[in-house]
Amino acid sequence: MPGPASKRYRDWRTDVQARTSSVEVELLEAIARGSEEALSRLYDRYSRLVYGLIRAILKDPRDAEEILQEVFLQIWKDAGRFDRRKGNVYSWLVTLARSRAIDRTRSKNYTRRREMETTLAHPEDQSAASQTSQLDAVLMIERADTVRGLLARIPSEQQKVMRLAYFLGHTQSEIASQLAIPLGTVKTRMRQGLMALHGMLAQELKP
Amino acid sequence: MSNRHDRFQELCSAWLLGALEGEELREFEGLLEQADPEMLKAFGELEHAALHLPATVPLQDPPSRAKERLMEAVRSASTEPRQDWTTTVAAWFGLDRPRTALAVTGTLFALLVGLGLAAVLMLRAFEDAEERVAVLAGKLERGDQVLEILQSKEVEVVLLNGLDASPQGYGKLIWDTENSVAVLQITNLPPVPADRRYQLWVYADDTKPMSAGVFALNDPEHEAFFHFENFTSVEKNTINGFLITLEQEDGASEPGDEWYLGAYVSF
Repeated sequence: MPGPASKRYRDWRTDVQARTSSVEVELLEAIARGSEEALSRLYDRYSRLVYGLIRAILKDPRDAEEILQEVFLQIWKDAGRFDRRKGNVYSWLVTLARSRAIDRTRSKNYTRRREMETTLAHPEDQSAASQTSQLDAVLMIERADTVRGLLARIPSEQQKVMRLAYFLGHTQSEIASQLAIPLGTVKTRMRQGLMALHGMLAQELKP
Repeated sequence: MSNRHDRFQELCSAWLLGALEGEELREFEGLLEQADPEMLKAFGELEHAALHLPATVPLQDPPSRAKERLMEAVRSASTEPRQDWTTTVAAWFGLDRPRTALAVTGTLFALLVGLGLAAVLMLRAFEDAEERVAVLAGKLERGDQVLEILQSKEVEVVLLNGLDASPQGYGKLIWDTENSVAVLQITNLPPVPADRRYQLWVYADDTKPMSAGVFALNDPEHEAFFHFENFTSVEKNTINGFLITLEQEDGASEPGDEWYLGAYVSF
């Protein structure tokens, strides 16, 4: 019987983390073999998180729905190119979703498109460092409140430049211009903000 | 830290936030190609932080039709294009030239598609309307239950993860601790056999798991909501987990080994 003091119970969380990451990779492998059911499961697992991210960037729900479909269609087409040694499913999906949503805002308001976002959208180009990030949808949903709390503890001026860059797709120069602050200050705030978030995550989420 | 490492971190942060462009973008890509272990470590750490940013925005349910459209698009994408079909059609109509066959077929096809599409659209409109009314009625009832709970002064929300028996499942328990009422929302759990039931367990410090109720699930295609009155007599502050198992129809006195959803909590 799994009692509250059993080892199985104490190790539960660790097991869940490891298993969910593995499950997602298995789903992706099944998608690469043409399994619609696997895509359906991946969608059920991630759509709320991905759609939430897209809606944070695109206010129009029709645009957001279209981008959501594009993201999962790309997963369907490119699942065979996914290399688990170079990244994880979570990072691939959120990077792809953000990239496409930002592109959509630019297709309406801008004519250029940054190379960086395009390259980031491909799994084979993700850094080898990604393999250290054991992230997946279930964990991120579980962590959401914690992460929101941590972000709130970062100085507001740092939060602001991070949000303008990540969710609105502004470049450093555009942020400097919009906030009427020197470019060097924008760079410093981005770096300090991200490092602070990393430091707090390391403290809060350590097993 | 060297100037090179310092510069790498600065560019890396901007790159991960998607804010790098032009000369600095090329500079960063050059540095990344030549990165030493210390730089790669810094990259991994900052990337880990940046990947948490999506968690700072609220989760949102996509429109219910979105998944259906996706799966239709997937099926369309999977269809193989036909090879050299004009010659075959020309033979059907006794035509010598594939171009003529193409024109004839195109016209007939357009007519058929037009008529078929109109019929399908009308039929779908009626079906969609019926389905939407049913869905909205269900949502309204569930919404009322959730709203009632959320109006309470003391509400806890617990997210349940998929476990061994159903790793793709997930759930949400919204618990009005003031009035001992809870709503359980579950997704992606398989339907139960006729003689069995899902059972929700409450784990607390120094006690055996307590049953909070049993329920059936017969419609795995949709999210399911279950309402619990007199939800658990266990002192909230001692609770450290929730578990959903599959048990016999009347429920069990202690959890078996078929674990479906679970959550580790600390109130």
